[in-house]
Amino acid sequence: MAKKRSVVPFGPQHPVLPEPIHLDLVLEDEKVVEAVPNIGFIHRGLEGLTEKKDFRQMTYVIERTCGICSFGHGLGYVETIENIMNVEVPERAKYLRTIWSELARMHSHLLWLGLISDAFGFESLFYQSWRIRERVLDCLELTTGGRLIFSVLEPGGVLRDINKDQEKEILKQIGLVEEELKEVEKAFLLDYSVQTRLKGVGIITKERAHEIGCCGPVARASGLSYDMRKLGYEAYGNLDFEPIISNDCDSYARCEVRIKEIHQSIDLIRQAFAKMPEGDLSVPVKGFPKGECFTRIEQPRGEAIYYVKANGTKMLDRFRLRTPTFANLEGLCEMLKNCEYADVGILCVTIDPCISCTER
Amino acid sequence: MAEVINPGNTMEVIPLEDLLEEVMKRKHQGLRFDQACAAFVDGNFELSYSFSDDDAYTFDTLRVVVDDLARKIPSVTAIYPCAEFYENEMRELFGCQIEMIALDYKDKLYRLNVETPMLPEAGKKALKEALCAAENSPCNDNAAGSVKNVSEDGGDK
Repeated sequence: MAKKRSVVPFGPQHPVLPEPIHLDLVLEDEKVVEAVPNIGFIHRGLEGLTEKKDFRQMTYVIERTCGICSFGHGLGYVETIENIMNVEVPERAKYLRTIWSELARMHSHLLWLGLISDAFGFESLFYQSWRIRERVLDCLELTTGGRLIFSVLEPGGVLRDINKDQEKEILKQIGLVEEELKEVEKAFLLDYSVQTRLKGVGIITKERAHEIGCCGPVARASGLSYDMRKLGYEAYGNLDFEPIISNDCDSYARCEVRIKEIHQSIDLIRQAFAKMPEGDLSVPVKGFPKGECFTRIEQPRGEAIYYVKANGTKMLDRFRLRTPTFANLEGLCEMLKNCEYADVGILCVTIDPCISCTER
Repeated sequence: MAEVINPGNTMEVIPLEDLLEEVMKRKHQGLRFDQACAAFVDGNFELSYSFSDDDAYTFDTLRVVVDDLARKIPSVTAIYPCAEFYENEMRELFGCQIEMIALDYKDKLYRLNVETPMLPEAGKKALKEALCAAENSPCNDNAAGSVKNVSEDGGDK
């Protein structure tokens, strides 16, 4: 006898969802056979503001697209403008941008570790993850004045420097993060109850991940080895690293990749401080941009694409931001197929959704 | 040829008739569908479809310029199903007449109460006139550019 199907709405308000997304889940008993995502609860039209603001003011607007990916958005935007205007940023500024980028990746991944712990009901692990994250936020506050939104970027360079005392403090704090994370990651990677919730759940094969356009840790956990930092933007071209991948393709692999990427970020920050030269923080940018350009950068959640079309005036014709979550929504639909209803919450978290960015 | 500055990025301007064929070629080359977006420039829609080769880290964009705003644009979702969100967004924000999208949100992806919010006023007027001309009907306020009939809670009346 054919099983009876029912449609269950999931979200937009749900304990595991930090931001509103709605899913129509088609169920056969407790098994999900199809999921249709609905967004659009917090669309703000930030891209449309480009017609009304000076392109220099847009840096501040774009940094406020989202609280967690703030620095990456600002970086993608100023880099696109610099590419169009052929601006060569001073070497020191490139290294500073790289260091802040990696600190932002660390705090984003630690935030995610807390959220996934909360989703599978391991409250003490959630507290520990966010306690460690505080060290990273303190480093950011020390060097930029802001814990989440830094406002240190401008076309042509950066607005703040990191002095020797601050460098020493950052290196001390990330050393402590490394030690403490090694303790906490044992629970994430070895604990039986955590493995029960993550292993073999939400599988996206390598072929499917490529076909549906997944990016970032979601793609790398399915064995795809692309990481936009390998493009060598900012100081990444001078640093030694390889994309972290896993071939397990499940939720556990996505967790493992993110934990290893925190360690990788620590290593990249150490390399960057060791190689950072003295010098200017910015170069003056004169005139207005004319032309168009696509720029790709690796945000904590994956590949973000920035498109600017400029007409030689202070207003841009078009600014477009393709966020990692926008690309990974297809991945979410894929992993929800044939999963148990009880796993839906966790699977939503495993793509590390950022709806503020997605809807702009 | 449009000006593209980033090294490793290319852009090819193609006629609309060749869109599906060119997209199919890229599918056969094993490229990943990376993004699609629209812009309204000089009275035309500029549609960009980008594909990446993740081994070589290249990023190729197909550019289609649509001068008749009412012209039907074929969906690429039959080739790359993951293009559905991009195409829904292009249609809802700009009013591009994309048809046969695999998962069609019917202009409700972003639950906006203004039609084609990314089009400037001149573009809204031009789109409205083009749609009326295509349908051989007199223009009225219910065409593109007007406020949608939406209740206060966001649902359609």
